[in-house]
Formats: sequence, C-alpha cells, structure tokens
Amino acid sequence: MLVLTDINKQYPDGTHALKQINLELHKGMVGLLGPNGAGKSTLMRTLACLQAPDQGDYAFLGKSCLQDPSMLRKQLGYVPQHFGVYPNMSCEALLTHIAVLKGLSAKQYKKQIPELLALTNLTSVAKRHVSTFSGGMKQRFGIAQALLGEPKLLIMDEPTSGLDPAERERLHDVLVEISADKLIILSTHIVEDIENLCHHVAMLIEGQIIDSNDVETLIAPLNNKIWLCDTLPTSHAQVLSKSYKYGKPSWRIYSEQQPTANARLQLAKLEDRYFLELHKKEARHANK
Amino acid sequence: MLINNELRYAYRQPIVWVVTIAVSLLNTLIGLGSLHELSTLNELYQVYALLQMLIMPAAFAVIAVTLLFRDSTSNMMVLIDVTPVSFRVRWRTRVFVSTAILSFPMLFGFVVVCGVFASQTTWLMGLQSFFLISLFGIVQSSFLLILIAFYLVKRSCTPFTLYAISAAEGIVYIVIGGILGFQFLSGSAIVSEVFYTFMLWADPFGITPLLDINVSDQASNVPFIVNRIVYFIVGVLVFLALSKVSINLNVEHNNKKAVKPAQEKTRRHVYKRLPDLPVVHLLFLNFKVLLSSKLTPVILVIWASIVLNEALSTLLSAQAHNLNNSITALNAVAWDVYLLFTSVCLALWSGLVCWHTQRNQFADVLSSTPISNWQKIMADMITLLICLLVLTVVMGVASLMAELIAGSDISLLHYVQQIIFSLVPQALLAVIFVCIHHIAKSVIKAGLCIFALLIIKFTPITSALGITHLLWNIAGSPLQPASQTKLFLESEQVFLPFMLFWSLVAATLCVFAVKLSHRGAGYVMNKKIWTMPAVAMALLTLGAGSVMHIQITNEKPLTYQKQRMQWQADYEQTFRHFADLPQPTMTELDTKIAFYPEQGKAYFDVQYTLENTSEYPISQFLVSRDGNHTNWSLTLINREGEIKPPKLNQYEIRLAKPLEVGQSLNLKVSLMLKQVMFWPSSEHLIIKPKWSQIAAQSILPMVGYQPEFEIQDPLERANKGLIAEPSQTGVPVKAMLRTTLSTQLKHESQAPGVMVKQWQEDGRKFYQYQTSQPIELDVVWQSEPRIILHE
Repeated sequence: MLVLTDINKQYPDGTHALKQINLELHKGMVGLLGPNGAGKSTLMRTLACLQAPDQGDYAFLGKSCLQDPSMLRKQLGYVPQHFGVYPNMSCEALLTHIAVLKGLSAKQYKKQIPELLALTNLTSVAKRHVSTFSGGMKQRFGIAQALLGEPKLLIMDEPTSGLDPAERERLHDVLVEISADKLIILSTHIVEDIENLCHHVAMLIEGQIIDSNDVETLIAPLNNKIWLCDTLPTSHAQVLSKSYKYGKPSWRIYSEQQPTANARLQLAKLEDRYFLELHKKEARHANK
Repeated sequence: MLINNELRYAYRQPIVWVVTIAVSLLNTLIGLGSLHELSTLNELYQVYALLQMLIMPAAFAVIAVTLLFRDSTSNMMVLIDVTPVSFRVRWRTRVFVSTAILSFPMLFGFVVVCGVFASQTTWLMGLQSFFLISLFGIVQSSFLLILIAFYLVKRSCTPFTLYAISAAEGIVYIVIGGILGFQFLSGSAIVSEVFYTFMLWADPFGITPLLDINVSDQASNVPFIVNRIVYFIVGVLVFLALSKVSINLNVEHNNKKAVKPAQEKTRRHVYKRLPDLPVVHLLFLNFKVLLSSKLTPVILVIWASIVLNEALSTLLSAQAHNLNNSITALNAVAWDVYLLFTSVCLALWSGLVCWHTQRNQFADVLSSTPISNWQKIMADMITLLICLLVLTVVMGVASLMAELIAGSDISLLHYVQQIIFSLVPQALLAVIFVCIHHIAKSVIKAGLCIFALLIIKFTPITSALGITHLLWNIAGSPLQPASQTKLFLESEQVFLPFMLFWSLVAATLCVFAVKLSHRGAGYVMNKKIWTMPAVAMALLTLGAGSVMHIQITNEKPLTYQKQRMQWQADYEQTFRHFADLPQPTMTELDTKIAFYPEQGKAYFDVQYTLENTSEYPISQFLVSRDGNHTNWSLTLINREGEIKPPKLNQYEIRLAKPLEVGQSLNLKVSLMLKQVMFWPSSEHLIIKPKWSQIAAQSILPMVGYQPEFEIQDPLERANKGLIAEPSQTGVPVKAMLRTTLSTQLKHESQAPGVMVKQWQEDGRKFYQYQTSQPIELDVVWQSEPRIILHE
C-alpha cells in the first residue's frame, strides 16, 4: 500500500534525520518505534507531504507521492505530535472548517461529523470551544479531524503522549475500530502500545530502520534468552532494563545462559528487542 | 465554498467584529464631524486620506494577524497544510477574504457620508466619482497591505513584525504627508518639488495624486489613474509570485544555524557575570528578546533619520529668518513626531516584553517561580524606560548633528530642558502601558486598550464627539513648544500639576497591576482586589482628577468649543438690541494696576470716563467682557442708576436720569487677574516673576455691544438659529490713558504713554504714565525684573 524507497533527509544544521529508509507497508496498524530524536516525526512529516526528502521517493497505492502530493492528501489523515487549535471555534465548527478544506461536500461532512464525534466521544462537547479542551479531548479531536473524508492512510505521531491510562485505553479502542480497511502508521516510543495494537513494526534508531517485521519475528531471536534477576549480574550478560516493584529493583537480562542463580526465564517482549537495539547503538557510540 | 469557509472562520473571531464595527463607526463619526453641507469635494478627499492614514494601519494589523497569521499563532500549520487544498488556492482565498474584510468597514463610513450629502444635487457627479475613487483607493490599498502581511507570513515572521510595519507605515505616511503639503496636517508644506512629483506617480496608496490641488476633475487626473493601474498590476504580479511556493514548515530546523564555540562561550560568560537578582535576570531576558528582534536596530535607524531630516530641513528654512538654533531644531521634532513615534514604539515594545514568556510557551514555568509580581512589573517598566531613554538620546544626538550641519546656534541647556519635558510624560505613558499588559489577561485585550488610548491621545476624536478636555491627553500636559524669546515661560506652569496627576494615575495602576498581574501566564492568583492601599489610591486619583477638572473649568469657564459657541450665541441673542441703542463712548481711562508677580496676581481699579457723543440721550448701556474672565465688579460714581446682576458676564446699567448729549459719567471697574496654572498662558495675560504682561483689550471691560463676541462661521450661525450675517465691527475705541502701576521692588514696569513720575512706597515701586492724546486700547502693561530690562 505504501512503499518507501531510499528516503534521506538532512537538515541545514547538520542533523541527518533519515538515512536510507526503505519500507513496504500494508493495510492494518503499523508501529514506528524509536527513541526521542530517532527521526520518527521527520518521517511522519515526510509521509504527510509536509516536507520533501532530500533523496528517495515514496508511493501510495502505486502512485508517487512526490510527483503528486495532492493525491495523497486527499486520502490522508494526520495527527501531529503537537498541534494547536484556532481560537473561538467550537469542535463542530472547526471540524466543518477542516472538512471543507479536505474537499468534502456539505452532504458528506454533515453525515461524517456526527459519526466522528460519536466515535471519539465528543458529542457532548460539540458546541464547546476546542481551545478549552483538556489534553485528552484535544487528542480525540485530532483523531476526529484526521478521520474526516474517510482517509485510507492515517499517520499518527505520538498520539498517546500526555494521556492518562483511561484516555489511552479509549484511544486504543478507537484505533482498533477504524484500522480494518486502512493503513495506520502509529509512531511512538511507548512500546506497550505498539505491541498491543500493531501487527507490523519498524524500528527506527538514529534515522535508520534497524528492522521491520511482524512482532513475533522481531522477538524471535530473543526467545529463551530473557531472564529476570533480583540482583545485578557480575558477568558480561547484557542488562536490557531495570524496573521496580514495590520499591524493589529487578533487571531484565539478555543472556544465552542463566546469568545468576536466582534468574528466572521470561517470555521475550518487543520491549526487550527495543532495549537490545538501543544498547547496541550505545555500544557503537562507545567504540567510536 | 472555500470563501464561505473563510468568512465563517473570520466572523467567528470577536476581534473581527470589534474592528469592523469600531472602524465603521469611527469613519462615519469623523467623516460626518469633519464635513458639512458647504464642504468641497477636495475636503471630502482630505477626510478620506486622513482616515486611511490614521485608521487603516491599525485595522490592517488586527485583521492580518487574526486571519493570515492564525496558522502559526494557533499552531495549526500542520493540520491545515495536510489538507488537499493547494497552497495557491488556500492563500488566494485568504487574501481575497482578508482584503474584503479590511475594505468593508473603511468603505462603510464613506458610503454613509456620501449618502448624507447626496441630496446636494450639484454634488452628485462628484460623489459618484468619489465613491469610485474610494473603491479603487480603499480596496486597492487594502489589497496591497494584505500582500505585505502575506509576504511576512511566508517569511515566517511573528505578528510583532507586522505590528511594527503597520505602525511604521502610519507614522511614515504622516511624516511624508507633512512634507508633501497635505492640507489636513497642520504645518505641512511641499518641501521638495522633485519628491512631490515623484510621489504624484509613485504613492502606493494614491493619496498624493488624489489630493493634488492642481486637479479640478478627478476623471482627468492622469497621475492618479496611472498610479492605480500600475499598482494594481504590480499587486497582482506580487501575489502570483508569492503564492507560487508554499511555506516551509520546518522553520525551526531550517533557521537553526550551528552555534559557534566563541558565541557559546560569550553567552555563558554574560550569564555568569549577572548579579543574582531576579529583577536583573528578568531585565536581561527582556533585552535579549528586544535585541534579538531584527526590527529593533531598524527602528532606531529610521528614528534617527526622521529626526535628522526634520530638524535639518526646518533649520535650513529658518536660516532666512535668522532663527536657526536649538529651539527651532528641537521644536521641529519634540512636539509631534517624537510623541507619536515613541508612543507607538512603547506600545509595540511593551507587547513584546510583557508577553514574550507566553509566546515562547514558557510563561507557566516562569510564573511558578518565587519572583513577585512587583519584580516582574519593575523589570518590564525599567526595560521600557531604558528603551525610551535610548530613543530620546537618539533624538538629541540626531538633532545636534543637524545643527552642526546647518551651522546653527547650539544651546545644550535647552536640550536638557526639552529632554526633561519630553521624557517625563512618555515615561509615565510607558508605565501605564506595562500596567495594562499586566492587568489584561490577553495580549489582544491589552492591545485594544492601548490602541484606544493612543486614538484618544493623538486623534481629534474627542473633539468630534464634543467632549474636549485637557485630560484626554493621556500622560501629557498642555505645555507648549518653546518660543524664541521666552522659551517655556508662557506654559511651563502646567507641567508640574499635570505630571503629578498622571504620576498618581500611574502609581494607582501599578498598585492594581501588582494585585492583578497574571505574571505572563494569563491566570490571576489574587481575587482580593480592593485592599486598603488600592481603595486609597483609587479614591485619591479620582479626587485629584475631580480637583483638576474643577480648576481647569474655573480658570477657563468656557473650556469647550461647544460651550464657547453657545455663550457667543446666547450673548448675541440676549444683547444684540444694544447695538441699535446709543451707547456712551470711553474718553478717558484712569487705571490703577498692582502687579504681584510672585503671587501670580494683578489687581485692577479702572475709572472709566464715559461721554454721550451720540445725538440722543442714553438711559441704559451695556458693559461687556469676555466670558472667560469672570470675577469683576463695577460701580457708578456720582450718578444714580441700577446695575443689574451680571448675565453671561455682562452688566446692564439703567440710569436714573438719562445721560444727555455731551454729558459724561464715571464708572469704576474692579477686577483681579490670576495667572492660570492649568492652561498655557496667552501673551495677553501672563503674571510671573520672570515676566508679566497684560493686554488691555483682552481683559478690560468695554462699553456697548461687542460684535467681536459674535460667531463668525455662517454654518454655526445657522445651527444656532442666528441671523445669517454677523454684525460689522465698529471703529476702534480711542481714549486718554493714565496708568498708575505698582510692582515689587526688583521689577521695572512699562505702560503706554510717557512716564511722569516714579516713587517707592510701602516696599513697592510705583510708576505713573500718561498719554498725550487718545490712543487705541491695544496696549500692554508689563513688569519685568530689572536686570532683563537693562540688558
């Protein structure tokens, strides 16, 4: 559905945000996982035709988006990481405003807007000014406006940042409901969201795609090699992450053998693979 | 559909409604107030030009920021840019709608004015052409201004840049109008024929060719027609060029340049050296914001150029009259250009300084620190005061340079005096602006409030509404420019009382600002506003204002133009019949005047000798005096008669026995004159230790009906129901004049005639003067310190 070929992007201040990105994405929910500064937002903006890459191209449904960006915009819904709203505009009025800009006829948007308000649970605040919305409500508004025009491609850049657990769960429900016949690219650094929602994940670190596959395939190399320890091992076993339970620390370790006597074998998670790649990146920097 | 969408957005913004209604009303009021049935078409064009120069820049700034800058100010750029509407289509729609919204209220006023005067059939053709010219003038000017805003949006400039440019446009046009001889600007004259000819063809808003006095019929006004066509084509081409390439959203990354190590070291160094005082750090932050704006040095350069140009051109013109000196140089800039330019700069910079934390989305963080409201307000005030000082020093330096170039007579003492008189009021204005920004919870509200203050201060709107008052000059005083001979002597007394009053106003606002400050974040912590200090300050200010008003009114009872007109109309309607009655003639005046310059008083006892030089007996006569000079009395000497209580400050006297032809009677008038403290003195009446001068004709009562008191303007006479023609002025009165003057010992006095005697008595000096023949009463009595007379 969406094919990226050799996408490169470097900013004037020297930041090389995207390096030779190659991806092929099909319908469903796709996760773009990476730490802060990995290039996720740059990739999202590029895919949303907001900025052109320095090199490479990307095609949606077989048509080059660089040559005809308006073609993609007609089928695109975009929720940026940070966005503001116009003052003195109610939720309904601003949705109407954006619907008109998206080329919807009055008949179309008069049908879609109430449906979207219901989907995002904003019906009761339809007449309220969007500028008075809480963070969660504003995010839901962002999704509602992105879904105007029934887009085939939905790009969501960190949609759950700043949301409380209840709002996150509501958002997940909405995303799952709409993902059946669309390509939804979900960019986030919250691994749990990706693991729960996405069938396919691309890992982006320092502007490069480290790996891109379904979740099981990404986790497979770590099977039977993840241990949970209550004490920090002294051996050269790779510490993936540290967590606390009731104030007591525990470590997740990547090791071929049992690293400590009290180590317990765990099921590998996507998070483990993510941390492993991050540590590999740090090791590369240390060696330089 | 896109146009509807755009209009729907626009009219959801309250500020668009406010601007539309306010500008429509202002245009209508000023248009109707400035014009009347007898106005010419040229006067109509002048009103159009005035409104376009004064009001359009402000309306443009608000409309452009609300409609064209909205994506960046609301952080909606990304959401809007991903929609399928192309950049060109979107901006074509926005420019079209913004131009329409900006033009509409400007046109509304003119349509109303045209409608009011369309009943004048001789006007009809002219009105039609006027309407078309307004359309091409206003709509086209709006289009050009909107294009400027579009360009700034493309350059990713902030709204501050737009505000600065629109303010500069207004000021520069007023200055240019002054040197192009726009008739509605006082003191304007064509300074350069070459520049005037250039502007006839090149004026972007077509005002210069429209007001060209050599053109009688606009239909054949070739420069205007060519000008409009060329600028229309240029505007369209510019728009097509601008709308070709979309705005690059990645502004932050694209504009970010690698910081050089030396720069980084300097920045750390500066921070380390700052004392650990919150106010100092806040000041540093404020100046960083001001100096990082590219407009700041541009403003200073423009200001220096304006001052140099104005001062130099005035000095060169004054050379012919031998008046090229510091007084001439500073008078050219300090009383209009300086006030307007610094006021606008203070308005802009106060917005920049007081709201930068919110603009950078740092307000919540800063306002949660322990810095007090007072510290934040102090820092903002000090910042603005320093900026004002810089502007004032630039004015002084540029004026000095102009004087050096012109080889003029430099007086540094006058510079010091002028700078003090100029700086203090503007400093108070800066304080008021900062307080407004801290009290208003949004920059829009604060901006509107400040804009309203500037309109009241600098435009004749209060006169147009018939509510003229000295206190509408916010943070100002009626101090007059220095004269060549007496410097500020005639009006310096008004400076202190007015500055004390405005200082009290500023202090009261500070108290409220400290209580109500939102600290940049837009939230107010303190709900308890009316504490003892606040109540006390508010009451004190109200009390002081009331006292000022009473004093202003007492010193000049006919304070307002409308009051004066009404008094004149009442005088004519009540006493005109005396013009047809025989009245006695003044033949002799024996005047005893006691000057008390230190107290600012002078006492008059005047004995009039009145003779019946008519052919009829006189049984009643009128003694007239100007309505502004009350507090006088008169008595008949050696004659029986009835003196009616004064009406409209006039005395009617009915004699018990008519005054036969050739007979005389004596009348004694007593009056006291006091130096005004809240009004500038006129040269006819000034009583001060440094110099005292009283003109007889302005203060002495005169016998008989005075045609000079009548309204001369035919339209006003018609409005008041008076007969069309005012009375003819009579032959000037001549009388023998004997004056006995007394003054303080260190003074010497002068009066008309020859001095016959002088002596000292009771610690005062006395002089007696006598004229040898009857003279006209346009004479003056003076008292000055002895050393001045000897020089």
